[in-house]
Amino acid sequence: MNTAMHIMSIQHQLVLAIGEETDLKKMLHTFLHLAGQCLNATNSHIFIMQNKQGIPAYQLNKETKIKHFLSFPSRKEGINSNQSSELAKLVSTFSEHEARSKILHLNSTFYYFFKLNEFGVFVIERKDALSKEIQSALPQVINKLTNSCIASINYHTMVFEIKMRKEVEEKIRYQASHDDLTGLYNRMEVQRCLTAAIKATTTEKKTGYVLSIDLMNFKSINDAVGYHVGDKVLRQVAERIKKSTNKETTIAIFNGHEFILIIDQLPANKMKAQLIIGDIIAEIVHTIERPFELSEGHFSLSCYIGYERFTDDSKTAQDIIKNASIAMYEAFKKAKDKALAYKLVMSEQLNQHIRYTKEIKQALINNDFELHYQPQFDHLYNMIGAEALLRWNHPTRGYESPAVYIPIAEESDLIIEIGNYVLEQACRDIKRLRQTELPTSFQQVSINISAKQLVKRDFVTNVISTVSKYQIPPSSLKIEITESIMIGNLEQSITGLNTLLKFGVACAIDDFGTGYSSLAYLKRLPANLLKIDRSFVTDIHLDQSNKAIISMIIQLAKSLSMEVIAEGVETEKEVNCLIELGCYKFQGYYFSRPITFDKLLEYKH
Amino acid sequence: MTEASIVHFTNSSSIDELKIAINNACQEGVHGLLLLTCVDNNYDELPLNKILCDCPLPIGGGMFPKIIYQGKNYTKGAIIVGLKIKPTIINYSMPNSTDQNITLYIKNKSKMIQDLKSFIIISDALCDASEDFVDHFYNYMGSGVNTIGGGAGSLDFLPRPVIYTNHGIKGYITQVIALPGALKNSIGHGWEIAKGPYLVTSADGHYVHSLNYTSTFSLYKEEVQEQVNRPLSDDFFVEYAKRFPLGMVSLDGEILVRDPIQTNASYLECVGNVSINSMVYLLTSDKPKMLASSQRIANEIAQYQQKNKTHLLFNCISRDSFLGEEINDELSIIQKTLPETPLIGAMALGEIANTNNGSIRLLNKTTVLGSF
Repeated sequence: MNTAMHIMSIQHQLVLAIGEETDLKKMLHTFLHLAGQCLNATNSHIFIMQNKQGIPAYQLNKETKIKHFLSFPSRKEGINSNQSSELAKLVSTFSEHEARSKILHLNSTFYYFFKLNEFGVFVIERKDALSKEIQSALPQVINKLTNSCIASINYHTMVFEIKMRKEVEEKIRYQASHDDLTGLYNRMEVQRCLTAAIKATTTEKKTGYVLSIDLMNFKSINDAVGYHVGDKVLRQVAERIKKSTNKETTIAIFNGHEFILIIDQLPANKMKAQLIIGDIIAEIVHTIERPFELSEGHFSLSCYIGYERFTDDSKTAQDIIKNASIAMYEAFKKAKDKALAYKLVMSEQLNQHIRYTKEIKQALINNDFELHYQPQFDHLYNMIGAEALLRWNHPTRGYESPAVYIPIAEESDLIIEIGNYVLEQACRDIKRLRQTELPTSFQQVSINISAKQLVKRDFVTNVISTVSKYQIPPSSLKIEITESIMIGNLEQSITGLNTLLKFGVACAIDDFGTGYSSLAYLKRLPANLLKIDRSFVTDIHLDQSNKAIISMIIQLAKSLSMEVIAEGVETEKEVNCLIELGCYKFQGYYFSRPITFDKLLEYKH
Repeated sequence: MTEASIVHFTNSSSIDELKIAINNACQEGVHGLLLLTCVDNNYDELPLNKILCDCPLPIGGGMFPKIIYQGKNYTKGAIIVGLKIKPTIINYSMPNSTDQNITLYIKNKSKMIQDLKSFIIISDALCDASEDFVDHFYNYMGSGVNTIGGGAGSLDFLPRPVIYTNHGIKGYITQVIALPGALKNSIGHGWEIAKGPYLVTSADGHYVHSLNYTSTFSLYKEEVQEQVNRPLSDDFFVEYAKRFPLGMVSLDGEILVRDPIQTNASYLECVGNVSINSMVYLLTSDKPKMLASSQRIANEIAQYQQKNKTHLLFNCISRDSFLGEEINDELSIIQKTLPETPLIGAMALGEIANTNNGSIRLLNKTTVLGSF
């Protein structure tokens, strides 16, 4: 009677323990603890099928394996049961066996193995054998344990899947609204934030600002030391901006290195708000211009900031961001103030700029560009060559000033197309010139090459193929570059120019003296002619300092075995003075204004 | 073979004598100190803390209702045990910890003793989490460890600091003194089944609300009346509870005593947890049975004994109230069986030791004898 009651008591205690927890580990811990007490076990263990990540499963597949899951106590004679290879081997042998339970007497220990369906094994270790009555009572407990394990695993799987789904959703949501590199908001998200900020600002009668920040010199870090360094710098810039603003500031990044900040909840009073925003801008400029010290080296950046104020919902988020960017672009163009507030005139100028760009494109299509030539002379007034100069004969406005359209073309890639036109047309004209009787003193036609053209990969092959196409001697073409190319990819430029020199196309350095170029680099450039900038030539006979500069340039050219030619020569006195200083080649109005090709043909006769 | 410990005893409650004894012990080339003192010494906390904090050796131990020295018990005095083996002493504080916190807490604190197998555990008897601690400690240390210990405190059950540490006297903590050498233990109580079993139909931790679907108090009173063969009034509990404890019987026949210490005329509160759906019995004993039990454990230790071992006894204070003056008979039986070294120990409020299956359990009305 007592034995029967005792067995029932054990069954009930164990079954009660099984049903108390949904968490598998907690449930099994309670069960194993109680099993140890009720069954007087020295050690008890649960092995359960688990996938590669150690997540319990009850359905057999390629990725699952029966592994140790839990023991009570966790160790036996100082060894963690989850590291006991002997125990794992015994369980493995049993689980491959068909029997549902097994008794093993090994090293003074009685092992009782029970299968939890095909997905697990329950093991009890005792000093003495269990009575038959107890053994026969245990399968019911094991059945309940099996079902509870399945329920717990299902619960766990469900919880895990929900958690994973939430994490994935969260990740997708995050990725959709954030920049991968910096963790800042992206364009979409900042527009959403700004829309909300506009609404709040309008309702609460406050003031908000959108700041557009563009980093200068950033591209050269990417070009010079690689994107991995550029990325590091960008992350640091993001961190610095975060630190220099308060937590409520919305910060986003666009187009690689343009930052957008929304600063709202500022006072309605325009003066007060402007003072605050002025301080914030000063702090941002200061923080960005501090050097970045990385393991790859020290880097310096500067920035330009444009900003637009909003106090109501009269402008959309898109418009406000666009206006801030226009102001930033204006600050960059003027390069005077680090930050500029948006003004309507900026949009008008920009629109004009855009219209102008379109017209340049159309001019290329309509063949409205022409090459005029300004002849070059020696001191004996022999024509020694000519510089090809681009002219745009606008159908309604007539000739446009190059000072207007060249900078615009240089901002876009139109300068490449224009450069190609100049090369093609110059070669075509050289061929025609050579078909007439050229004076023996006439050496070549020179064309201006922009820095953007020079760094184009196909530049050299393009020059060679064009020269070859028109079957003109390479020496009849000279290319003029400015000192500004030295701040670009110098090595690539030098290699290209050397290739052209070997081919026979020589190189001149235009506007020399204005670009502050390094003399060390100058020595490496395969140029044979220095063109003295017109600013030094004008009234040289009256200006001692210009005289000294030109004298120095002439000496420098001599030491580098280069020739010199003076540009912008307008008077006889200037010619005489230049001759005195040792310059014997000239270009300027004194000799000839730029003339059409047809006039050049006539001129040389 | 040299002795394992150097023992100093004083039956004085003077803190100055304690200080002198500690200082003397520190001069004797020992590696740690175990203090067993009487609560009734009423040491001043401030000078006591100074003595403990100034002690250059690891120090552990507790204040008990009585201490045991050479087969006698004392209500005042102190035993200072200079340990010749280097103990590692860890103090676990765990008020109101949840299970998960306790597991992690014990794991983190016990790393430095995880390779040791011999432990003396002294717990503040008022610490509710003592039994949970013992379970979790055993789960972490695993089977194959040997433990003796008991609950420190006083019979008035008023909260006071009772555990000796190098940071002063502390309350509400459990202390583990890990010993690098072997420890042999033996437990016994002499209690036998008088009646039962009764199915625990409602219980919560220490509180047994109903047995066989009847109020525990009513059933208990009925069964005790049957045992004493006369009707009892409702205040019978104070006099009879010490004579008729409850007990749980393991699958292998081992009886775990659960001492009822309090009632509200409905439930009985025991020292230690009683699980719902488990079975409990009414237990009884008498002086000969208790003495026989003590003789058995002393014999068991004597069989194992090598010379000059330290014999440390944790004897339940309720045995003292049950046996009265004859408690010294029990103690002298043990001392006489182990005459080589003085028997030292304390009358504890709940004992701690490994049961037959190796698990560390909180025991009641039991004698726990250890030898190291």
